[in-house]
Amino acid sequence: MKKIYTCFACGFPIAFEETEVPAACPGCGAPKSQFLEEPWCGSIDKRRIHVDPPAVDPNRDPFDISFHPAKDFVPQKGDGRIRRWVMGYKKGQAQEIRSFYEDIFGWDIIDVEGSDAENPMMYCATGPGTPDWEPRVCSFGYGFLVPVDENSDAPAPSFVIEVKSIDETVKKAKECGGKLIKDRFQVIGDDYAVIEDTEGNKYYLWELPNTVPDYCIHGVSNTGAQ
Amino acid sequence: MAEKTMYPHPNREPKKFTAKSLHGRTRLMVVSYKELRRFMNFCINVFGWDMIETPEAASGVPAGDPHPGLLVATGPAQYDYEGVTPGHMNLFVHWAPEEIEKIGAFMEIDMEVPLEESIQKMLDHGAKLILDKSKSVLAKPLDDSKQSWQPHAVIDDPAGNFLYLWKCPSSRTWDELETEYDIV
Repeated sequence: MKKIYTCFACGFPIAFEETEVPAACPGCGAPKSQFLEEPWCGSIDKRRIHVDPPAVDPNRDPFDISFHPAKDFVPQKGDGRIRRWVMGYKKGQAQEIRSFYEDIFGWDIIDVEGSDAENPMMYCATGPGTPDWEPRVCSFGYGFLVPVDENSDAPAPSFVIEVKSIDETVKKAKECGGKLIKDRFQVIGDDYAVIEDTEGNKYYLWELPNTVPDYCIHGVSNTGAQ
Repeated sequence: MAEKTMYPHPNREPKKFTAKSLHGRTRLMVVSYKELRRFMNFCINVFGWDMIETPEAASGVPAGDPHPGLLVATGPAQYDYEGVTPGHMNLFVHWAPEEIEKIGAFMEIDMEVPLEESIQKMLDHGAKLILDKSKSVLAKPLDDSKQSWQPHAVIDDPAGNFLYLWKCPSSRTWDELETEYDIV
């Protein structure tokens, strides 16, 4: 018999036949003994059992990776957010890569001002957006398709991390075993740099010292899906 | 002649994404690590990120393994480490037993279309299906036979970028914050 199971530990709901219930919650890994069950009512969104997620513990050990709700990010004022992805393409391949993502994935792709008309840097909307081309729904991002030069120190693929200060972030990165790969440079009026983490992953830093996201002014409750 | 739409000063809004689908959204970024504690130290102390062990259902790695997957919040997050405010992506992290793997986008594909059909369209447009686990430990043969929260396929796009594709199981309720789409 099909039932709806809601995890008491995290609140994640799933619907399964009784014989096929997973041994652990897909949302938090809690054992199935933590599942609250109710009859299947034709649709998972008509379920009647809803579980409040656990409260955030501000004194938690940050190296403890057992399930816990994420910390309160409001005090960081946007510092550390991954804002864009970056993928590369070979020069001469712009139309091919543009049509791949437009035709298969339905993206809306525009060129970046000042880039080469034949081999442009392209900006890609991958889902619902605001009038100024920022994602307007949570949990996904927009990004850039960039023409790749052999031997470039600007990595693609990678992603772009918003920081309040490139200098401060580079200093902390070096103290933690990272490296500065490409010092401060400008793209369409903003400052960027490239660092490498301890594992060899390269990231762009995007300095936005005066930009404070709305959620930092009007804090959101950061747990609970709806 | 119409003025060309350019970033960052576009003369129009982005298109409306009206389908009840998250197909094509770049939902997370995928990175790999060699040494867990060293990687975590960098993430926590440089960027202030928060993280949990990825549940086995999503990583395929048993709970408590010395080389766990990680779900990393880089900004405000829901209980399940989906973002809670628009504008940022979180991380899906896994251990790389050999070399560090290519960073790539964790993309959602249509949950109502058979996996093989979605992948075939990509192959017809010049992509390649990665099956070699030395290129990515997440690479695997296609299997659409059961509910899975793990990445379903690793694709090499026509330019050589890795896409980590995920088809959402039927557990989606469509009242999750991240499932909103455009209404015309």
